[in-house]
Amino acid sequence: MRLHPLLLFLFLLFAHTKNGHAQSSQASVSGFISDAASGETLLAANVALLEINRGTTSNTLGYYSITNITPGRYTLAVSYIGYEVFRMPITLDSGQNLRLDIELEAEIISGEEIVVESTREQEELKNIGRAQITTQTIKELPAIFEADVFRSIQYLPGVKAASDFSSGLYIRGGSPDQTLILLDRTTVYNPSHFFGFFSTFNPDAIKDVRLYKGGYPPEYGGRLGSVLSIYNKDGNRNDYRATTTLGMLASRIAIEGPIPKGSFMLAARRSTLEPLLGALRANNDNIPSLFYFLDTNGKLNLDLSDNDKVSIAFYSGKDRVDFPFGDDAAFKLHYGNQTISTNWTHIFNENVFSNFVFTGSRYFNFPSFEIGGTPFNRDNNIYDLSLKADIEYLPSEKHTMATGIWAGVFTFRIQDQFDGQNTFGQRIHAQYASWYAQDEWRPTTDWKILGGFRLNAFSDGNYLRLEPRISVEYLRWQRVRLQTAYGRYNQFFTLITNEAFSGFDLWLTSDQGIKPSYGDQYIFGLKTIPFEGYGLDVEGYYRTMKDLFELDPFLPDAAGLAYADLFRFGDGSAYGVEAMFEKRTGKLTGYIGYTWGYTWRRFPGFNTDPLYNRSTGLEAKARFYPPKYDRRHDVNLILNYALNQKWKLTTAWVYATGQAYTRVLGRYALHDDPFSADEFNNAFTVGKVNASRLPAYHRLDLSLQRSGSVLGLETLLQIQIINLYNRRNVWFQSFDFDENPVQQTDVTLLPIIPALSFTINTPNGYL
Amino acid sequence: MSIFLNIHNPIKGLFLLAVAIFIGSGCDPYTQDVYTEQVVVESYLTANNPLTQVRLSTTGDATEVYSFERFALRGAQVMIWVLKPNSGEKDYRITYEESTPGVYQPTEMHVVQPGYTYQLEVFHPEYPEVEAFTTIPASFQIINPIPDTLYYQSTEQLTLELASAVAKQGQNYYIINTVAEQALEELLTPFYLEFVADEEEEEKRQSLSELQINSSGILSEGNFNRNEQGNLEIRYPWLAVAYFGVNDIIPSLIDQNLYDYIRSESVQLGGSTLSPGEIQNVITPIVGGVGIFGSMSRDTARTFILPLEFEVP
Repeated sequence: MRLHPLLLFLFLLFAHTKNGHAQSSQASVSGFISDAASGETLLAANVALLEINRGTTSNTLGYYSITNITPGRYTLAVSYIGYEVFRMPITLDSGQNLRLDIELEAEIISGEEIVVESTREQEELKNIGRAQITTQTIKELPAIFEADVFRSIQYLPGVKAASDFSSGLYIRGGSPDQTLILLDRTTVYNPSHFFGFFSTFNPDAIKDVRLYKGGYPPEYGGRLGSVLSIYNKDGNRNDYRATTTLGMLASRIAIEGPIPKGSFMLAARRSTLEPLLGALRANNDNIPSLFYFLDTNGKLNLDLSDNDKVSIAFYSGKDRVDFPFGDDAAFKLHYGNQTISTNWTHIFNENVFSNFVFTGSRYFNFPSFEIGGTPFNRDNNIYDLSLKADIEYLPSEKHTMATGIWAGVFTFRIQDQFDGQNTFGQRIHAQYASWYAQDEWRPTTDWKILGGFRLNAFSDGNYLRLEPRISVEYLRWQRVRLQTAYGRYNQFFTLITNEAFSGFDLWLTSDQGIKPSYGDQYIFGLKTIPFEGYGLDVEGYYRTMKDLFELDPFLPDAAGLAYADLFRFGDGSAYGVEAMFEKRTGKLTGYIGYTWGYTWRRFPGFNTDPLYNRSTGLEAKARFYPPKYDRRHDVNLILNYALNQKWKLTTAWVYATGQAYTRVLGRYALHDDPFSADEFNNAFTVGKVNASRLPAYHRLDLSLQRSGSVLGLETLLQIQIINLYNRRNVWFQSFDFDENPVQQTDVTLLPIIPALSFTINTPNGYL
Repeated sequence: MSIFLNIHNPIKGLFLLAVAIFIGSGCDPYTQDVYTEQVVVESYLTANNPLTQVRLSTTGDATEVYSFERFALRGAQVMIWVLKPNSGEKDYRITYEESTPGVYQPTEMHVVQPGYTYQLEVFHPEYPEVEAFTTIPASFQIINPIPDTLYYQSTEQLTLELASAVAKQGQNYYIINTVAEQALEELLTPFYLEFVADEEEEEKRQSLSELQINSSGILSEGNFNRNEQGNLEIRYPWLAVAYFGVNDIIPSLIDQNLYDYIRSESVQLGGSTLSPGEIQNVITPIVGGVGIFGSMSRDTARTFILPLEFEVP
């Protein structure tokens, strides 16, 4: 009889567990780590037994476990950025499994002097490819009208923005669809408001944002490049609290509080442009009659027992535009996302931790036009229902093993109608499943090796893909970490979008004849602490991208085409080096990040040599080209300065090589076009695609915050200036053929923009 | 030498890495092309119609003032070959002669044959040899009776029934033009009237002229139904009507060359999934030059379009 690999793994796991119990001479300590004030679990907190230099970090549910400890007296230390270090003497008896749930107190800044000593335990574990950004940072960073998760992430080395108008994430040379975006473990397909200007995530509702820029571990899959995992707040377990923020573009309200054996959180945000639109409408015809976004987040947590926790979380967001741009012309757009995740965490024992999630995600997009009595409508829906199960097993102090499955059903539906008749329609109903197993092995205190694999199956096209992954870390002198990683990644989806407008986004899948994209990632890292309270991280990466499939941009009309004929197929690569020098303590904190990078793409028949001699009968060879978001150099300087207890200044300065563009070289005109009455139709001859560069991009943003109190309520006034020195960065060049010679104009990005917001929080015990 | 050999001094290692990046970034192998003048061809062949002119010019620098006369290519040797249907060998040659600078006319009358492939050759002492091929689409006819009068945006919408258009491979692509007999502002339909109402006089004159031929853009055959007889039924959208009055409605079945040229030219300055400013070369069938040598088959339906309020209940 042959055992299925998964069954074999589970058998070994539980056999080990049983065996683990038998080793009664050893002890263990485990539990949840949470914020003392709110009861929110803290993710990736550092836990250590100082005397024996044994440690771990809390997982994504805030749980930690240190096993196989020789009985004795120890000092348990727990640290987390922004919190007081927790130290507690513990005595472990032979065979004891100590359950110790720990509450950390937030750092108290007293008086004018702000001194936070750094300790070894406070150094955040920095795994390769990983970056973390706190919600506090998101709220403090200068933002265009509204605090935004994605725009904050764009300040990290290796992450780029396409333009000031886009919150899309271009990470390590990948397009936005190469990043898996999860909200409470649920895939979010269109994370944008206002057609891409903002991301959908309300900073009041978010507890944790973690980004895997590359080389992500086997527990994640489905995208070629990176993973952005966002976790909603659980809600305050000790007290009722409310917060409201009035902004120039949008306002937010959030409430949270305890319920018997648990907590809840509810947050809502809505744009508040109506007064502005109303004023504009008085003098201008071309103003939408309806234009808003709305989103709500909610979460409910219940502790069924010490070892069983359940939660249910939801997100619902939408954007609506009604724009009658003439007596006989109107445009409407309604799009949004809805997600739900139901989570059950079960602790079998101090060695085995499990998590089970049911996720549901819906994306909808309903654009419509009616012009001159002719209607056009699109009905586009995605439904993604899935089940995830993850089991973590700690057989010894040297191993942390994990396995899990993720299986689901993905349904995509699109129906276009023109003039009352169906034109293009497609329905994709695919099943997917993946299984991973990984082991983090620490053979000595200096070495950490994480190896594993992920096996993916996708029903459309019957694809089965194996992804081996490994990362190795060597710790030298406690202050230098050398890291390297390799991984294979597959992607079964492609996003049809436009950098300037994400309101019509479409996701399409691989299928028979449309192979999933795949790529390899090689990463090398060096993480150091050159001086106490400082950090210096350097990572280099090289990525390949094979079998890329994307909508053929020259396709004029998809009606009647076979599904495979919608696409063009290509390949690409990306490589670069990122460096970040960080000051973590003191009155002045912040970092300077630098990225040097290349990214390339190639599609047959595209970017060919226009002078290629085709009389040979051979197709002209496509040349690699950099996509528009390729940047050679990218610098981010973020500084926070606590002026005193009430005032805080945050600045962000960004410098990047100018965007790539294709230089127009020549022009010509057609004069006898049988399909047009134009006197002549112009066309350009251009050089290599994106071989020229626009002027360098740079911008300085500033945010000044004053915290105070009114009637016992905590208040926060935020004054922000975006693009302080009004740099007119160029987005692209436009050409006016009505002028002779053709007139070229630089289309610029955002000018100087001031913004104001006011937040009111209820302190503990107020409600 | 690995920089990590200097790991006892990480700062020095990082310095070496920075130097390597600096040197590497200075050697960008992807440099921009330089402008090269090319021959521009423009010629359209229509099934069952006589061969028409071939227009030749050259490209100009993008910053120069443009006029056809300035860039006309004179003194070229131009000919079109009719190829044998099965073998593709040259069968019959039609020579051209220059009638006005850059405009070449056939020296003999030849009716373009559907289904045949035509080869254009251009020779000029100062430029590379230019060559292009087009296969003439199958001809078709509008076979249903066309109402004499239509009332704009009434429930009675015009349908064109096309017979005998055969797709050679994949599917056919059409462009439907609406050609107004008179391009007067007072005849504009409401949507287009609002569109030009606020324009300056010169701009308005140009718009009125341009709207005289209204084009649907490329439409896949998949948009339309085939009836039981196998004929294609095209529902004519009201959006296509720019002017009241007499209008010719002309569906054109285009060849691969026109399909490639028009679809790429229409997004050259943006649109589709391309990022703003991401300018691409137009897909041209011309070997040794740029421009278009394309063909089509077409038929015409004529009708008179009146505002809805003229409809008698």
